[in-house]
Amino acid sequence: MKLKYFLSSVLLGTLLLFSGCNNMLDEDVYSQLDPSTLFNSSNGIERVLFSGYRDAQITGNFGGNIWFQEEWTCDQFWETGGAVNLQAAVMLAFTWDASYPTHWTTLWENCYNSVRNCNLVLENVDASPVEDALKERLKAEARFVRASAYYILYTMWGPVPLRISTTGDLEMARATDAEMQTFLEKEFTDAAAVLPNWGEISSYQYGRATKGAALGYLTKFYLNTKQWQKCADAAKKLMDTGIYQLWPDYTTLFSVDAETKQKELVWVYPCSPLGPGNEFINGAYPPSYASTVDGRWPFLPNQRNWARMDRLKDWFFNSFAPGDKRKDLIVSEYINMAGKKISLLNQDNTRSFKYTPDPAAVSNDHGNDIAVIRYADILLSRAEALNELNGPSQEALDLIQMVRHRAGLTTPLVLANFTKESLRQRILDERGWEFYGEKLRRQDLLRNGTFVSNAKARRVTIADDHHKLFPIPQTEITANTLCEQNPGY
Amino acid sequence: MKNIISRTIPEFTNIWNSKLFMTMRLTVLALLIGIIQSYAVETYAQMTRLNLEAKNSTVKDVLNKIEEQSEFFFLYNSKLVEVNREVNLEVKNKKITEILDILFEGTNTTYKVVDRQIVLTSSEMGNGFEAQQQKSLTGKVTSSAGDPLPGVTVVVKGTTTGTITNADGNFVVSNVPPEATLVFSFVGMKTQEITIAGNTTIDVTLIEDAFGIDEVVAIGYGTVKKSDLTGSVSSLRKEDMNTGVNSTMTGLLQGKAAGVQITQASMEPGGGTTVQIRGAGSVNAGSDPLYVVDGLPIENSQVISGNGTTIPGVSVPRSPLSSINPSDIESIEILKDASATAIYGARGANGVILVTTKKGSSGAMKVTYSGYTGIQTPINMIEVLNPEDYKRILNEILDTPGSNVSQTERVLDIQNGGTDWQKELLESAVVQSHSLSFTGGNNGTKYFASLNYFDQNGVLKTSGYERYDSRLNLEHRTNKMLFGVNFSTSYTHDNVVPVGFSTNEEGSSLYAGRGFDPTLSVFDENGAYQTTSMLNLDNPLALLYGKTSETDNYRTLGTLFGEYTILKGWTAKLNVGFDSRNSRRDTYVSRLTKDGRANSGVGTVLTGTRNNYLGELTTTYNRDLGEKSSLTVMGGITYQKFININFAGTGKGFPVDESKTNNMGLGDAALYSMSSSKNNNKLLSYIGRANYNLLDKFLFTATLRVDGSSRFGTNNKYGYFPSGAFAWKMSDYDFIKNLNVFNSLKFRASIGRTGNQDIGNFLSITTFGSGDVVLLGGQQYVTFVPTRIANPDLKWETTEQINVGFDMGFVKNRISASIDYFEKNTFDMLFDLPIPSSTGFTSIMSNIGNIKNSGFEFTIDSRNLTGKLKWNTSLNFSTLKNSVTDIGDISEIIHTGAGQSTSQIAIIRVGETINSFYGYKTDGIWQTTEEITASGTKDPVKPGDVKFVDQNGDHVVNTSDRVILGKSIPTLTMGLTNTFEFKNFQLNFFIDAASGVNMLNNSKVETYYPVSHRRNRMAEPYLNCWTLENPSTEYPSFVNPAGQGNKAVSDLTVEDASYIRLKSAQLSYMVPLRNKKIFDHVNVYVSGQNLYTLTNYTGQDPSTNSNGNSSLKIDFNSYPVSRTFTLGVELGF
Repeated sequence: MKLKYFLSSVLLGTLLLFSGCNNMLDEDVYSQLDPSTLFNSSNGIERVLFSGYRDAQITGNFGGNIWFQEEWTCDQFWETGGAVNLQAAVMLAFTWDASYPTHWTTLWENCYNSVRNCNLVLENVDASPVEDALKERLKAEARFVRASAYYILYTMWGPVPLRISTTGDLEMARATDAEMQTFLEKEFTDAAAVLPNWGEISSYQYGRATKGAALGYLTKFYLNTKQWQKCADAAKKLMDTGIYQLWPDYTTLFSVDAETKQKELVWVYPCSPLGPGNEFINGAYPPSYASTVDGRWPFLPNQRNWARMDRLKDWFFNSFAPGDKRKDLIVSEYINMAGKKISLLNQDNTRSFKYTPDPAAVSNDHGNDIAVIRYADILLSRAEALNELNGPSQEALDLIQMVRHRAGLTTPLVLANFTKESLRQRILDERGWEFYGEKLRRQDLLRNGTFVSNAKARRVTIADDHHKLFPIPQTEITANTLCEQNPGY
Repeated sequence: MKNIISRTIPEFTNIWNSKLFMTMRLTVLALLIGIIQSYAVETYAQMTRLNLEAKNSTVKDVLNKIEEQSEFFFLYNSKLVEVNREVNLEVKNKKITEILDILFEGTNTTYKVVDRQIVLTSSEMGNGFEAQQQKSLTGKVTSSAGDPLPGVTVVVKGTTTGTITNADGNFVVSNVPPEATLVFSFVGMKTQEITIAGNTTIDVTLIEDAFGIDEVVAIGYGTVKKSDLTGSVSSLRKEDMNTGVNSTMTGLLQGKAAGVQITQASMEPGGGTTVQIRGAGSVNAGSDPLYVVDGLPIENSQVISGNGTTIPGVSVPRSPLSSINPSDIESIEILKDASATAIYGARGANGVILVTTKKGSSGAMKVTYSGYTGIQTPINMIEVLNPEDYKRILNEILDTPGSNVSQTERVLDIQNGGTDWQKELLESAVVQSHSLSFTGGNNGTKYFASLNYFDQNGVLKTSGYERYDSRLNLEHRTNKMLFGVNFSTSYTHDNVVPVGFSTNEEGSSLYAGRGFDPTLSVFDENGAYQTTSMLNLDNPLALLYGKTSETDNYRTLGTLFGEYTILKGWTAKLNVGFDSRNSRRDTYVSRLTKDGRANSGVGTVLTGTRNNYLGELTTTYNRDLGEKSSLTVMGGITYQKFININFAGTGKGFPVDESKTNNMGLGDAALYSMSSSKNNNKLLSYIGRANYNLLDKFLFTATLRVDGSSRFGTNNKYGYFPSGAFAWKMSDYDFIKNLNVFNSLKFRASIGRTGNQDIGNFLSITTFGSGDVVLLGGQQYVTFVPTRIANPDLKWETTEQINVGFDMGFVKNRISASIDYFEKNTFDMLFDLPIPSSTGFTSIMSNIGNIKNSGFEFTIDSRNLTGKLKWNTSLNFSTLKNSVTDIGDISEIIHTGAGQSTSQIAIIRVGETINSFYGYKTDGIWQTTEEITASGTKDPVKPGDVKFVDQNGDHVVNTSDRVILGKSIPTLTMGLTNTFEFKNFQLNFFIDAASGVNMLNNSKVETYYPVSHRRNRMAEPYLNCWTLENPSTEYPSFVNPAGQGNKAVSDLTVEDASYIRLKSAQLSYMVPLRNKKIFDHVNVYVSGQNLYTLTNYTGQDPSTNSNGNSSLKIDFNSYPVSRTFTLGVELGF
């Protein structure tokens, strides 16, 4: 080859190879999405919001593990077996710290992921070409979801860094308790004013924020912060929507069948066998479970029975009044795979089958929606608020009776039998029977001031006041020097 | 021309010392045998035809031209041969003898062609072999190995009298005065002077000039003589590499090079290895070295990352390098210091491994077949409780007061003697390999072609790995041009039995096999695989046969290059390469398994393509500056683009299992799911290097690479990576000579910067990806989440390295040694900096933090015996100290994740080794209630529980009582090879060792914290557990084992993983052949691998690392180790 041809071909090759060097090193985005176009459609905004919804839902294995602290730190439930036992042991013994259990860190992160996505929606929705009415609703949804995430955070850790935008410094101090309360109150109140009622818009899916859900959260928030009048009022407001009512049969309330028919579940974390799933029953099945004695709920090949054993204490099982149908969701004896009848009594070993097995379950995942706020809770919350405000009243007893009646306890309570204190205790007991396993117990004990004494009574001698709040995850403390740890940790 | 001689002669001379008959050098060997036995075969000289045109040139010029054009080289004594005579010559298509006849016509110069070597002598001095005069002196010249050396110049000092040894190494010199001194010279050997002192016979042994030093080694974008190296480079020829079954090329290197830590992360066929050169320099960016195959930097990320739905996760994926046939490799150079690696800039920080495949050799076609077959037997299985002990001990625990275990979990009976589940899963397995290679060439064209078939069955039933590959390396040289292709293509088929960190029903067959109830028989009364509702584990055999994963991988890689000599000493080279990988993985979960039944079959097909192409133009200028000084300058530009595309589809609800993934349309349409992705990244780089050799004493090297990467932030697109090195050949100085210690001595020093850009794409820009699916109104909706906080300032991480070293030769160069000290400081570390997770992000990729690695590396090669029994030893050992020196404002980071029950295993803390194990110290077992009361502990402990050390004295053992328990990076590693040769036998064995290293034994974690009562576990702790009758101080009672919460990472489970091991041994025999009618040579051998290990580690194998991250060793569900014996043969035709 002659030199000049070689050189010119090399030159040409070089030119072809390296032409346009300036943009040669730009990154090409193919399968991810460019934020500049994402917020230009209602679909784009909605899907960012949907992720906010998702991160504020405590479902799946995550739900089973984390949310159980609300029961394991209390008096009704305990746990043995399975990998989760390492975390459960710490919660049962009150020996947790800022680094462990690790699942709490995940919960913290999920809540703040939800907050972040809601903030993104709130920051971008105004500039997007979406009609105004929709804008207002999307904003109300985002504020509701964000507040629901903060509600979880507040319940676990007390006041936390209150992030309401995605800009600003990475480090942020915790809000004061007053700021936190003002925020939650305002967000839920404002959202309740804008959000549609359940069923009002046909295309508005079940599982999205409603006026009732906002009022439900408001009721629970007022209840747990002991703002009794506001609690009673918010509950009343919710009742007055006329939408909600108790499902007549407690034993089927949590089944997949009832999901689309009932009008009791004010707020849920929706679940499906295809995911996100409800995994509570997997840990509730006793060893070698084949079916209940009456043949209900046979174990199916598409289901799982975990090494984990979520067990109920005998005292609680024995505390139900005779005829209380709510006890029917607790399994105390069963048929095992060998066809033998096995009793679970007297070993603190009865099992809550509240989320009744989904015949269509796929492996770990069952389709039962997870109840977060039930109408029964609203009724009992109003009853409790009324008692705190004015002492025992017939209205309060009637509210309680609605719940008891559904459980098959038709004999009403007698007003004359109660003082304010004894009715308070009665309501606490009633809540125990009604809401066991629904992750409300810790809140109820805290509100009644018995969380610590109750633990000490269980011979958890190291329990003291600092355990009323959990330690902020160490990862946050390490990375956020402005964020102070809760006292005692 | 010098290169040709220096490249050829050492092979010629070393051949008798090297590990014979196993290698590429067979061709040379065969040649030599041919010469000695005077075989009349068609030689190179007869086949090669040359064109020459020389006007007014000297004879010397003509000889040089012949050397440039061919593989001939000339040996002569310039005093005897008139080489400055002017000649005019024009020949076309002539044999060398014809040309030489023309060239020396009418002169007294005669020649003798011995293959490629042409010895010129003068007829006037007489032919030493024939002239038998009275005062003659005879003798024989041999190499240090005792082999005759033909062609050695023998001259009487101060005269022109002399001769050249014949093919048998014999010489005769006449008219020698009795007091004369003879000078023996031979290129590549040390010139030797011997005083005759009246003797009439003198036998001389010549010593190689510098043992091994004149090899040419690849340094990236060029080569350099080993003696001229300024940087720290480990160069391994084929014969230096590991013997036995090695499915990947990294297996060839394990333990063989100082400072290179290679871990067989998974023992499965084709299993992945992790390679770490001089420690871990990064927390978040990759720590793999860059691999360059024949000038093409290849990329080794997995083509397919997914495992398939409900298929257990694989922690250590198969190595993509396994698609490159190890037997095609001629040599491997490992570039370690910054001077050597800076030419690879932003990819050089973790070291560079240069792979050179075999090149063709000229002459008649040589065909070589090599093959072996072997048997692998599983060894060192984790011993779990046998059925009787399982029943007895578990029931005893259940009956102990304080146990939480309910009566329903009592072990009742043993069915048909029970089952050893691990044994059911394992078998002895066969491995075989067959290679056929062809090499030859003429008229400037050389080729090497090979075909290979490799088939390894795994000891875990149904696992296996198959590879078919072929290669063609072709090279053509003309006057001004050299061009060629290196091209290989391979197909591999993987039968993966996944063994990862997945647990419970999601766990692998091996995981289930270790935990499954041993009292059960394999099948139930209906003949189905037995399951038990006592355990959330599937039947191990059902998992083995019911969850299948097969992958087909196709990889084609090649380079096409053309090098043009523009002027004398000035060349330009264009190199174009591509690497194309395609994979398809089919996984199916049948109704044999719980998952398969729950979903009515699950099939997943994953496909992926990863391609990259390279365009590169370099130019080299080489100038001889006289007085042994020279300058070489290289510069160039290179561009590489990487394109990745993936697709995956899953179907469930198949009416029957039979069609598996071959008819996905049979699945339930409502349950289909699919995903896809596409991305690319690009590198644009400018490179330059200058080598200056002053007086052959002082060597200077300077390099610079400018790398632009699409992965870096807009504010930092280009990085600059300079390096400089200096070497001083000290042995020629009198003050060194007078020491009488060194035959050779070279000092080296280098400093430079390299980078690491291995962080994934998009980190500098904001994008949205998909979040978790949400369920609304009974419908699943895809969601969007922001993927990261963008860092537009993001850039490469920089590693600054200094290296000082000596290369030494002792005892007539029978011992050669190298010692290096290095310090590697990584700064602007690519660090996933934790940020407050309350921002909605947990971290931001940043350039923050420093890590320092430092250490010594020693390599010693010694020829202990050189007589009939030869004994060579090569030893390398290295020390490594790794220390995190800065992680910004963060005080520490705790590594999360690993096995299900084990989290928070390691810590990154300033002053400590990266990922140091972090957990609890123990101090025996609580023996009595009194002891507990007296200690004041508030923890819920009872006699028989493990006594964890309360470091801060607050009477509660919680996470603030954790301390550093050890590290995954060994302090000291060693490799020792011994080779013995006697007559036709050769014995080679290799020992490797590591110390100062720990590993988390996660099987032990599951033993201390069983997931459920009925899970089986390691036997030894339970057979010796604490009871009132047996107050053990070593093992607890295991009653309510998790009562103290999660203390999984402790000095009970983080074990010393130091070991010393007889890794391999090989005995080979060269069959003596009466004639060569059929075979040119026949070599048979037997070899064994994993023969003996000495260790305190209680798991399977201290050297494994199923975590796949070389700076954090975790042993969990590791693929069984096997001992392998192979029988092999090599046939040359």
